Amino acid sequence: MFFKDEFSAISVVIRHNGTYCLHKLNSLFRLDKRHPQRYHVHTNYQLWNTISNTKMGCTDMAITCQGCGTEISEETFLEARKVCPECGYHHPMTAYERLELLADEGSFDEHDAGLYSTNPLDFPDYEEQLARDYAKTGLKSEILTGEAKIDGQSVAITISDFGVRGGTMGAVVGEKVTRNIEYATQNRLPLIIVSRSGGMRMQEGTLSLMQMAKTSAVCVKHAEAGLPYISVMADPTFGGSTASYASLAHIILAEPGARIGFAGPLATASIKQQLPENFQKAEFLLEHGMIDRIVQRSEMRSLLIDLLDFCVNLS
Amino acid sequence: MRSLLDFEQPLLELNQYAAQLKAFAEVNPELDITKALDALEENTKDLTRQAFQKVTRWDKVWLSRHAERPQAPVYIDAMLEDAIELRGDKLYADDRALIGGLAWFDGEPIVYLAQQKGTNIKERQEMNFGYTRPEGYRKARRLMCLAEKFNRPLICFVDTRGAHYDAESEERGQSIAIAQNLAQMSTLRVPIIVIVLGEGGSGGALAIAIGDRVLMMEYAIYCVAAPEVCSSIVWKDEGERAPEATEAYKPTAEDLLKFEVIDEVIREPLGGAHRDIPLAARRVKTAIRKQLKELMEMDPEVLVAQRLERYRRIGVYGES
Repeated sequence: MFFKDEFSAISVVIRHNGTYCLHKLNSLFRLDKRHPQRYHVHTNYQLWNTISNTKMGCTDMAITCQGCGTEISEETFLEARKVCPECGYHHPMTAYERLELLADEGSFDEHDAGLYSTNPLDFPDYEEQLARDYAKTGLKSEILTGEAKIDGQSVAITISDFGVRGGTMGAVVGEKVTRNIEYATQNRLPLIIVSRSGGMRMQEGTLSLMQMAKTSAVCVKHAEAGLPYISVMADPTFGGSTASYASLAHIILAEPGARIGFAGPLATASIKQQLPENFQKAEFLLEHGMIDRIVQRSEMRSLLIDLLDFCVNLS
Repeated sequence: MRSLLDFEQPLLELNQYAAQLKAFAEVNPELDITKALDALEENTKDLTRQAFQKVTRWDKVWLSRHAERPQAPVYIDAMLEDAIELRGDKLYADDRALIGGLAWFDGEPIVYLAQQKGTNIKERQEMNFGYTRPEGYRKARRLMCLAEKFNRPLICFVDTRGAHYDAESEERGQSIAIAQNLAQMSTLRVPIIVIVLGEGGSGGALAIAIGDRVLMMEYAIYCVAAPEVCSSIVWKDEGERAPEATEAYKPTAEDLLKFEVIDEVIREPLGGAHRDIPLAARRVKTAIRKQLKELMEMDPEVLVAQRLERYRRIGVYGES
């Protein structure tokens, strides 16, 4: 049984995995309301994996594919990097899973992990929402930035996580992306950004909107320095992210079936016009000439290696 | 579009009395109504002042959308000399929601960009109710490049609820069109002055709104998404809590000056710009003149560096 509250994932885990998990989860959700930045003290990522799998419809050991409904064993599922072996549906990945997929093992050096969102506009319930998201995901920060190696080539890398407020861009995401791009420019590194974002962070109002301007400006500086930038759009990439840094790359890649667009599904639905079948899917963008390639998850790392090899003049 | 706001109702009644009085005096020339008219006018002013003392943020949203609110073409006519409109993006089409061209300001050549919504049904349809399409942004970018090529300052009038969000706009790369404008504007080597006239809606506004100076009319709003959209995203409703969202995300000129998103608030005539359009235009002109004078004296390198810095520092966060 799924509960219709914020904590549906927990309820399910408890039901399937018994009291041991119950205990673990309780400790995961011990919140300190006065210090929102401390919400991320619990970082049991394995546990988060269990939760996210459960959310996708995990029953004991099998996962139900969201694309075709096939039951896949957890082992096969994780081995295939969360891609359904039957229909090829690409299930969502967390930032850390993505990092593990793309970067050389142990090569990641995280930057600016200490940045946390505040509530500059006093938007009602914003702190509580953030706290819940941090607790639910066990994330330390809203977006992962740093330096890593891909087949030995150093890159500045930014990976969004959908976990905190749907990966929306507020001051923290804007600032971390900006710093990562600046770092790339200063250290003459290629830039790779993997985006997953619902758009702009409403709760930070116009200050969020300005993050589009900020991140775009540093992209230009990076490009002017003669450095390559590859953008990877995963499901979903919308709004302010698509309309700023994510679209300013030299090469734009997308995962199969990823929803990518400017206006969110709510807005486009409100027009009540007949929408094309694959509207705002990666395939739709490819057809209309907006992205360079659609890349299977299993081939993403090797393609990035090739592209970096082409772009980087190692002198 | 609402043409009369709730708090404007009593003012309208007073204006009607005045008109009736004048008509009565015309048929009875022996009557002296000056005193009565003066009293009425004074009364109207008082009432307006009272009403506008307590306008809420939500009221300002409706003032910014007011059907009679002067739009960019009105200001262009009043402030710029010999405007020559240039049309089309040279790729696909000409978007009427975003126009632009060459003109002279105080005798100085400038390039202007302006969003418009239209004043009657026909115009509104033609201008797509002010929702800009990718063609509009691409035309804007073309004109930005012209401004840079001929070393002329750029003046942008912002007034849109947002970039268009229909299937065609998505097909033609709305996101990329906006992103490319942001990139173009952030390093454009000529002065850019932005004036938010009415609604500054989301990326659709920002795509022509990166400037060295960003000015805002007193009753304009500049927001991350229209209040109705914000409400539907945050509270998953159909926009019913838009007034609440407006209070919460603070999109007014007064708020944004505090957060240093904008540089100056242009005071509107009593009762809003639509109550005295010539005065509003004069104030806008004075504000632009002042800013332009400062910017024209700056070295392009310094100008671009300061613009980058201006946006670089926006955003409030904690760091541990």
